[in-house]
Amino acid sequence: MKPKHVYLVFINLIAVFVLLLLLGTPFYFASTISKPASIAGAKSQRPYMIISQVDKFPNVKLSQQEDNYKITFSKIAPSQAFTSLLLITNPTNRTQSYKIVKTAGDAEVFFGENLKNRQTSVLAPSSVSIPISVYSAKESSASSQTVDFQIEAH
Amino acid sequence: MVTKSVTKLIDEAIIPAIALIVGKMLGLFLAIVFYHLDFVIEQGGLFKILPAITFTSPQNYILAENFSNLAMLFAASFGTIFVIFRAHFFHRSHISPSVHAKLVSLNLESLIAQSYDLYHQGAIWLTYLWLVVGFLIISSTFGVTFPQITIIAFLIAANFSWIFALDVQREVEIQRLSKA
Repeated sequence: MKPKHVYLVFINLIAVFVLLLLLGTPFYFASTISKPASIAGAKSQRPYMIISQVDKFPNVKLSQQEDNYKITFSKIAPSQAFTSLLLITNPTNRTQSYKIVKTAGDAEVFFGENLKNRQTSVLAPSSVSIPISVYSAKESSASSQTVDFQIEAH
Repeated sequence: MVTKSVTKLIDEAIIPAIALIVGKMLGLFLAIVFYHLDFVIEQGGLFKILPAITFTSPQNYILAENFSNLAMLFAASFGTIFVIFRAHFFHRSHISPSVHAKLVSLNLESLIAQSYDLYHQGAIWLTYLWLVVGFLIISSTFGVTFPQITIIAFLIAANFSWIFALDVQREVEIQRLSKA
């Protein structure tokens, strides 16, 4: 093959590559321009993603240490509830089963916002977000309360 | 020398690429404005040069993604419709004499296009349209884009391809008759 032909093949390959790059650019842009939030330290391969909404509630604090979550709040009424304090999202491609395991504290942590049906386990389809709420009954009267919990995923 | 067709395709691909990017950005912007979505601008967009928009909740992200994907689909569809319209009504090989005369009188003769230009433009716009369909299928698989949007995109792409093919068929017939 003559050097001129090699040059022609090479330059045409470059041109086709430029064309493919041009075709792919809008879709690469579309896939990178926006993304959902994740809390600091959360890894994408995790079976769940927790989004905090505690900043919408006065006198409520959330702290996280590895898989342990701690919610601290002030008691202002005999019985009170904070609905949708957190959102748990299933970032995987399959349905996940989540269970709240309380490790300390008097308040109840449950999935959903229905106080009459406080579920501690739930099935979450792919990409679905489920609120997590906290309920403190009138029997628990301490002015400052803390509840520690973990989330198990299966 | 680079093949003439490849050069022409590169030339014709620039405007659709920009249209799709602008459509996506406009869709995101409109979703943020109309739904008052909370967002944070972070680094890590296109080739790590442009910023990326991070939405504070997955629901906001899904809403904005659907809006922007729909806008991208509109951009691709609008460009393809324009080319198909030109191919059917302002195609130099089979434009009706009355339409031709009218365009000349309105000083819009530049709308009349040759097969060479139209088919390169059509190939590029349809490629982008089908790539949008592919993108939406992947996005729907991951549960981000509503499947209804993907189905609509597929129907649009299939119908536009068919209408464009009719024009190509007509052109082939004209060429065959002119050689006979």
